[in-house]
Amino acid sequence: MNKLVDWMTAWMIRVQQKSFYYVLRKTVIILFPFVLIGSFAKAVNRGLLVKNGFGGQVLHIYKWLPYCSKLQKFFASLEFLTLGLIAVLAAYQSARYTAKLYGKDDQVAGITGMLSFLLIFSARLSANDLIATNWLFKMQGVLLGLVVGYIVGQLFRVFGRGRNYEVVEPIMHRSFAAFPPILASFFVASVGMAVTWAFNRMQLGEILTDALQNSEGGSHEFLIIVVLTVVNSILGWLGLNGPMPYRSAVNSDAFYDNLESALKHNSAWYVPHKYTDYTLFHSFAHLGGMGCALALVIAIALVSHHHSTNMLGIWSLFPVTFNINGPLLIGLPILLSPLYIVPVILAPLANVLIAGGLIALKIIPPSVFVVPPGTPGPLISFIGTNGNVGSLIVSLLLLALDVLIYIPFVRVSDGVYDRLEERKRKELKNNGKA
Amino acid sequence: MEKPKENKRPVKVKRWFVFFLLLFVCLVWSLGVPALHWTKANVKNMRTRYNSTLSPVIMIPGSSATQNRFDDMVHILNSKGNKKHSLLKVKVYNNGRITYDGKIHPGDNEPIIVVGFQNNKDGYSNIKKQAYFFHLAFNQLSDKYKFNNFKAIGHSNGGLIYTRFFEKYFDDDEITCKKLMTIATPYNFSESSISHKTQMLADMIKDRQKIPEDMTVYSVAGTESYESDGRVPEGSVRAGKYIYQNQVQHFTEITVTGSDAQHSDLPQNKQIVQLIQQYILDFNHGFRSPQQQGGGSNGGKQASENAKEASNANVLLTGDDGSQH
Repeated sequence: MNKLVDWMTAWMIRVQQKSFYYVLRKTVIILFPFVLIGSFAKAVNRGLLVKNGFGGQVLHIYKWLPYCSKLQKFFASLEFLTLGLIAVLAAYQSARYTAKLYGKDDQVAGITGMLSFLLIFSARLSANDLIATNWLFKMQGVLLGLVVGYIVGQLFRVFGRGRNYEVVEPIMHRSFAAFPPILASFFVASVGMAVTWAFNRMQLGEILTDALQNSEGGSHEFLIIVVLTVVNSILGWLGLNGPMPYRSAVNSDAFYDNLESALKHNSAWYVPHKYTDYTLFHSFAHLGGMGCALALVIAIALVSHHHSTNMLGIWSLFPVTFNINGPLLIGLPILLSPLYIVPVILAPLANVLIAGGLIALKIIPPSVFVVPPGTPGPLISFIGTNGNVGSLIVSLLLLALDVLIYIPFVRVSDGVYDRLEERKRKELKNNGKA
Repeated sequence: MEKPKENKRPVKVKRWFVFFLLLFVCLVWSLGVPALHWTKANVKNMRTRYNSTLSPVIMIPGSSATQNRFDDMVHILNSKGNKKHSLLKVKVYNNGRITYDGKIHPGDNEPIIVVGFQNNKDGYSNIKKQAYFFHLAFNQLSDKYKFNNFKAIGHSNGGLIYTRFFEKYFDDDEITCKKLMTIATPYNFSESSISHKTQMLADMIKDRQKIPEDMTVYSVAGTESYESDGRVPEGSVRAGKYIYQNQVQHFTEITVTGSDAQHSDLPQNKQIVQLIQQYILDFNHGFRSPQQQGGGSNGGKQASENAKEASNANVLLTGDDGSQH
C-alpha cells in the first residue's frame, strides 16, 4: 500500500508540472461550485419535480405540492444555466489559467477562449439566433472546453504580449496588444468550425452518437453488456455520456418483449431476454450514478480522514441519492484521474457480472417493469421486479461490495494528499529558514 | 503547531458526515415504501390493460350535431346483426366537465361510444378546442375501461377532430387505434382545389408524421352531384390523402352514391353501415348485403334501386403497404 502511495505521489507531482494537467486541476476547482449547485438543481428537478420522474409518479408530488410546475421550471433553468453551460465556462477558465501560466493577459484570454468555444460549436446559426443548446455545452463537453481553452491560452503565449500593461501602458495599448492572439484564436476556431460543419454534413456526428449511445439499444447479449459497461465507465471518466442511455433501453424491442411476456404469464421469471442493458446495467450498475458513486461516498465516510474530501462527501450525498455524480466527477476529481478510473470501471462491472450470474442461477428475477427516472439507485431493481425482496437484498449486497472496492482507493488518495501536504509544509519551513 | 488542529477538524466533519449519511439512508429506505406501492399498482394496471379484450368503437359527430347523432345508425347496426352493441354517450362541456349517458353491458366487447361536445360549432379554432375536449374524454374513458385498442369513426368535422387528436394529443404506448373511418370529412373545409390550402389543411399536412403508422384509414365521400355531397366539395374530402397516404399502414378512399348520400344523411346510409360492418367492426354479424336483401316491399323498383346502390359504390383503393409508387 505504501509503495503505491509513494508511486502515486511521485506521479502526481510529476504530472502537475505538465501545463495541461496543471490547468485542468485549477479549472476544475473553479468549476466545482457551479457543478455542485447545478447537480443539486438537477437532482431536485429530475428526481423530484419532473412529471414522469420519481417524485411525479411515486410521491404524487403534483397532487399536493403547490406551484409544482413553476418550481420545476425554475430548477430546470438553474440546471441549464450551470450544468448546461459548464463546458463554455471550462473553456473560459482554462484559457485564463493557461495564459496566466505564461504571464500573458489572462482576462482577455478567458473571454477569447469562451467565444472561440462558442464559435466552433454553434455551427447552427440562423439569421438572428445563436443556438446555445448544443449537447457539447454540457458536462459531456467539459474536457473539450478545457482543450479549446488550453489551445487559446497557448496562442496567447505565442502571440500575446507580457503583463506589464495595467500599470505602465494606457488602456488602448492593452487592447491592441491583444489583437494578434485574439485573431489567431478566432482563425483557429473558424477552422474548427469548418471541421464541425463538415462533420455534421457527413452526419458523422449522428453516426458516432448512434454508435456511442444507441449502439445496442436494448442489446441482449451478456457479453456485449459487460463490454459496454466498461466502455460506459471509461467514457464517464472522460465526462461523456456512455452507450446504453436509459431512454433507448426502455424503448427497445427487448424491453417490450420482456414486458409483454411478464404481463401475459403473470410472472417475471421466464422472460425471453434475461440479460439486457435494462435488466443488468440500469438495475444494478446505477447505484448513485456513473461508477456507483454512492459506494464512493460511503467509502469516503468510512475511511477518509482528509478534511476537504469529507466535505465533498457530505455535499455529494443529495445528488448521489438521485444518481447524479457530478460533484464527485469534478470535485475529487474523478475526471481524468488515473487513480479513480480503476474502481469506476471495476464497481459497475462487478455488479453486472454478479447480477447476471444470479439471474442465470434463477436466484433473482430480471427487472422487466418500468422504473421512473430519478429513482434512488438501490431501489431500482426492487421496483423493476415489482417488489421482489431478493432483488433488493442483492442490490444492497452489491452496494456493500462496491464500498469495499472503493475503500483502498480512497485510502491511497488520502495518502497522496498527506504526502503532498507534508512536502509543502517542509518547503515552507525551508523557505522560512532560508 | 499545526498537526493537532488538523486532526481535530476531520473528526468533527466526519461526525456530521456520518449523521447525514445515515439520514439519507433512512430517507431512501422510507422512499421504498411508496415506491413499492406505486409499482404494484402500476403493474396491476398494466396487466389489466394488456389482458383486456375490450375493443370499443369511438365515434365523433360533425358540427351542430350532438352525441345523439348516431342513434339511428346504432339502431340499424343492432337490428341487422345478431350482436347488440352497447351505446355509451359522452358529453364534454366547455368547462371540462364530462357526463355519461347509457352504459356498457358486461360481456360486451365491442361497445359503441359517442363523444359529443357542448361546443359543436364549425371553424378551425373550434376544431382545435374540440380536439382538446376529446383528449380529455379519451383519457377518462381509457382510465376507466382500460382497453388496449379501439376503432375510430368521425363524421364530417368529427374526422377533423380525430386527425388533430392523433397529431397533437394521442401518445399512448399501451393503446392502439386499429382503424379510422372518416365520413365526408372536409379536410380543406369548403375549398375544392388542393392548390388553395386552408390553414387547417396546411397544419395537418405539416404534422402528419405524428399520426400512428399502424392504423388503417378509410376516407368515405358522399355525393349529391359529381362535385359535392351538398355541403362539402369532393376535392375537400379527397384532400385527406395528402395527410394519411404514405403515413398510415393502409389508406382507402371510398365514394358512396345513391339515396341517402347527401352530407347529413350519410350516417344512416345503408352502404355506410355496411362499410362499417365490413371494415371497422370486429365481429361478423351476419348482415346481408343489399343485393341479397332485394325484392322486398316495393317490388322491382326497390330491388333495382338497391342494386344501383350496390354497383355505384365506387371503391378506389389506394392501399399503402409501404410500396413505392
